[in-house]
Formats: sequence, C-alpha cells, structure tokens
Amino acid sequence: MYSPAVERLITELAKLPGIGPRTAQRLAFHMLRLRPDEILPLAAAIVEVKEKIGFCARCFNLAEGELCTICSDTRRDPSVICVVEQPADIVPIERTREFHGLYHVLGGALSPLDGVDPGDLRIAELVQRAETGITEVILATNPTMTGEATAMYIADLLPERVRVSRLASGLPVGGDLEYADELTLGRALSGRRDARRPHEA
Amino acid sequence: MFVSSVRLVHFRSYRESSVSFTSGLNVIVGENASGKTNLLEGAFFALRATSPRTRREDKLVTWGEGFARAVVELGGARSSTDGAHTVEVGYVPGQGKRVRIDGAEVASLDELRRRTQVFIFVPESLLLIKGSPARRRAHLDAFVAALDPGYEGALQEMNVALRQRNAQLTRVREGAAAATLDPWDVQLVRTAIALADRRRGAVARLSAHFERVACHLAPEGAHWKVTLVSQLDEIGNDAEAYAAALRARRGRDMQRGLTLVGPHRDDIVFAETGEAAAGGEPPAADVDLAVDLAADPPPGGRDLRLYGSQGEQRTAVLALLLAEQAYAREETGELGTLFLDDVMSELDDARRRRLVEMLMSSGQAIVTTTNRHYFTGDELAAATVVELPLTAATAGPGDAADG
Repeated sequence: MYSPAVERLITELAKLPGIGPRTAQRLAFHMLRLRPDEILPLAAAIVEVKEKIGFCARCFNLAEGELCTICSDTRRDPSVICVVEQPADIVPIERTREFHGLYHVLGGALSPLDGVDPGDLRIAELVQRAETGITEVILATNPTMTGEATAMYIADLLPERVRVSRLASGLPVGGDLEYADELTLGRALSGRRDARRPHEA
Repeated sequence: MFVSSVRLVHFRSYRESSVSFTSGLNVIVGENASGKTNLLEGAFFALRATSPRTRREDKLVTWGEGFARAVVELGGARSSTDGAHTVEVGYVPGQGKRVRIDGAEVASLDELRRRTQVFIFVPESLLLIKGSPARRRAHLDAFVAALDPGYEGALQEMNVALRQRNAQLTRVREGAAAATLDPWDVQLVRTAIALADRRRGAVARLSAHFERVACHLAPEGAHWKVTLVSQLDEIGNDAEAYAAALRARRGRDMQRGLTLVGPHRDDIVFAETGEAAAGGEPPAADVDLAVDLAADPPPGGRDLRLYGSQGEQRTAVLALLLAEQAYAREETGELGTLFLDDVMSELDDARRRRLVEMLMSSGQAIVTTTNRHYFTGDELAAATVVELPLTAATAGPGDAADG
C-alpha cells in the first residue's frame, strides 16, 4: 500500500510501547508532512541518546559516562542502597526527596513464565556491592508477585549484617477507604501502626 | 430480579420466539423435541454468554443461519417496580459474542455474573457429579467468585503463583539453582493458603444449605453432605506445613514439571452419611495423598459419584443448585432464578411435592416437564404454565436438539 520506506517507518513506530498500527500510521504521516529541520532533530536525538547513554558501572541506572549522576554525587550516602526494577522507578523515589542513598537497578523482576532468571538481573552485582560498606538495602521492587518474589530471593542472598527492608504497602495518601482494593487494604491492616506512637516501627 | 421474558432468534430450534415468565414458579410443558431444553439454554445463554450444554457454540445457531441472539428482559424485585433491564447476547460463529446490557455493549462478562443469580439443571449437569474434579472445582470457583470478588482475586493470584512455580520447576530440572524455587514456594504458599481458607469457608456454608435441601429430596433417612477434600487439610492446613510438603516433594514435582500438592487439586465430594453426623467427622486423612477412593470408601460416607444411582446423582445436583440459590440469596439478597430441565421425572410423588414447595417459596423457578401431572392442580393453578410448541406465528421449534 505504501512505499517500502514509509512502510518501514510505520512498522518501527508501531513497535513502541502504547503505539498501535493506527497511531503509528498517523505519526508517520505527520512526520512526512514536517520540514526536515522540524523532524530530523528527533532522529538525531535518538541516535545521540543511543550513542551516549549507557548503564552506570555501579548501579546500572542510565548514565552518560561511566557513573550516573546519582552515583557521582558525593553528597549521597553510599551506605544505603535502594533496589529497583527499572531506571524509571528511580524518578518517583527521587521526587520524594526522602531518600539520600544510592540505587541499584535490577533490570526487571524474576518471572519464570517470561523466562527471567536471576542470571538475567543484576543480582550478583548487588550482592557484591553489599559485601563492603553497606549498612542497609531497601528492596523497592514493585508490590507485584514477581516483585515480591524477587525481593524475597535477594533478601536471602544478602549478608546477615546488612539491614534489609521492604517498602511498606498501604493506602494512598488523600485516598478514600471506600475505593481501596481488598489486597491493598488487607496489607494496610496487617502493617498498621500504633496511632499514639506512629513513628515506631 | 427475575426473568420476565426470553426472546430467541436463530437459537437452536427457535427461529424467532418470545416467552414471558412470572417471578414465581413457571412450568414449561412439552413433549420430547418440543424445544424445552433449548429454551432454558437460550435464557441461560443470554444471562451468562455461555452454554451449560456444549462448548461447540456454533451448534447454538439454527442450521443455515449466520448468527444467534438471545435476549432476556429482567423484572425488578417483587417488592419494587424499578430495576427492569434488558440483557442481550449476540453470537456470530467465528466472530465471537457481543453482550449488551440495556443496549450498551459491555466488555466483560463479570457484569453479567454480578447482575443476576442463575442456576441451571440440564442433562449435562450430571457431569458435575460424574465428571472430573476439575469440573467440580471450576463450578464451585465460578459460583463463589461471582459472589465474592476477593475469592476471584485469590484464585487468580494462586493460579499465577502456581504457573510461575511450575515454570521454575522446569528451569531447575534443566540446571538452574534449587534456591531459585524458594521465592515461588513462598508465593504459592501465601496465595494457596489464602485461597484454601476462602474455599473451605465457602464449601462449609454451601454444605449447610445442601444438607438442609437434601433432607427433603434424598431418599428417606439418608443424610447427604458436600465436603471439600483437600490435600492441604491432610497435611495440616497451615502455611508452614504446606511449605514443608512442597519442599519434601520438590524432586517429584521437578520430574513432572508440575506442582502436585495444593488447592489446585481440591475436590468436592457428595456423600451419603446415613444419619446426620453429630460432630461432622473430618475427611479421610490419607498419608500418601494418593487417595484411591474406589478401593476404599472414606469414612466420610458413601460417595455418590461412585456408588450413587443415576436418580441419586441427579437429585444431588438439584440439591446443589438449590443450595447455591440459598447461599447466593444470603449473600446478595437476590432470590435468583432456577432453570430446571425435566427434574420431576426422577422423583417420587412425595419428593415432587417437597421440591415444588421449595421452588414456590424461593425466588423464580422455570421448570420443564413432559407431563403436567407431575404437578398437582393447585400447583399448576398457582404457577405460570407455558405450552410448547408455542402456538404464536413466531414459534418454530422444528429441529429441536432436546432430549
């Protein structure tokens, strides 16, 4: 129907997450309508990001250079590591401004059904990092079954002297009990706190 | 809510027909091959988008036609006039089904299951007793899940954990470290215990209703009950015991690439215990878990699947449906609708009277029969009687698949 070049562009766009064939087609025609100076910067940006951005040698976050911006920030506390599944998970945690340690990006979660083994994740690298100078590891994998299983697997591998914690599950702030799902509410109940001494664990 | 009318278009033997019902007892009288079963199946299809009789759904479409449609009008509860709805399921072989509620298409069938409580007895329902444990589990799970979203969630979670563990079993057999199974054991134990608790509670409630109903329908002096037979009960029914059992059987599980112990192997047993058990003894605790029921009937009673007559098995299914109706009413306040195909012929006269009495005092029942004399004159006078074949010009049950 289209010339091979247009066809190829549509096919490539449709591979992107959240983009179906219809949207891919619309985007392709939009790009065809634009002047070269309007659209080529996008192509250049893609090339640049793939050339320049790699993984941080320490935490496997995205990095321009050997270490990511967080690992190279000397104000951060290097004795605490927060373990996340994906680089994107770092962003919301950073936004809280509550965490001042370093990260470790696993690159996914264990899922035998999807063929993801411990060897496919940066678990060995984490265990190695935890051997020296680390006092606490916070397991911030997703509260999904694969995330929980991954956290549990890692917790068993970490040295005894390291404190290992898991993010709490509970109700969203400003949320309404009426709209909470059972599982979340159940976890919130089992993890409830003393209302008189709310800051004690 | 009750079914106030059913309209079938190109459904089995019906080219285009409508039948109206009332909220109490409805009796459909017709000879063999007059379309009785098809009518019940069609009404059920409109309310559940699935046939209780076959998986070959293309068989539902009248021969030579391109689509089938079943429409049910629902009337409000007897106490109120509001709450009327139209539910419609259209089906084109090869293109799937479209479900509309009050004209608006719905994507999920959950909506149908939540809106209405329907229970159907067709000849194929006997497989509930005679068939595999998987069929009984599926029936129980679907029934409870429709009433309790928490049960459905627990069931889905357990199934995911089970599939993950099974996948990892294969990987460990192929050389992955045994420790990689540990987190999946933990996930399976957590989700399995959660499901088992809910399932045990559901079966206990169901059995209480079943025992009461069966008192009226089972042979004189017989006491029937429904029991959950679960490996988890046999190994002690707590998380640690289950975790230990999984560890102990890891080798065997690995060989098969399958988890051999868990609530996914539960069964439900319909048994006659002779007299009402005072304490209710626990089911047989077989040490090996490989229960050979045929060789050694459990002290829990005479298993109706193995030793019940055809008539007893049919009565047990009927009692189960009535028990489910009572359970659902307790849970939702809805009286629900029973579709019963030719259940009267198996019962003696005293039991027919008791069944009709139960039906008349509980929600809507749509009952088919070949013989109106299975009902008394008073009963028929109080019921809505529909004669098949329909005499209206629209009726045309010719190639009925009844019987």
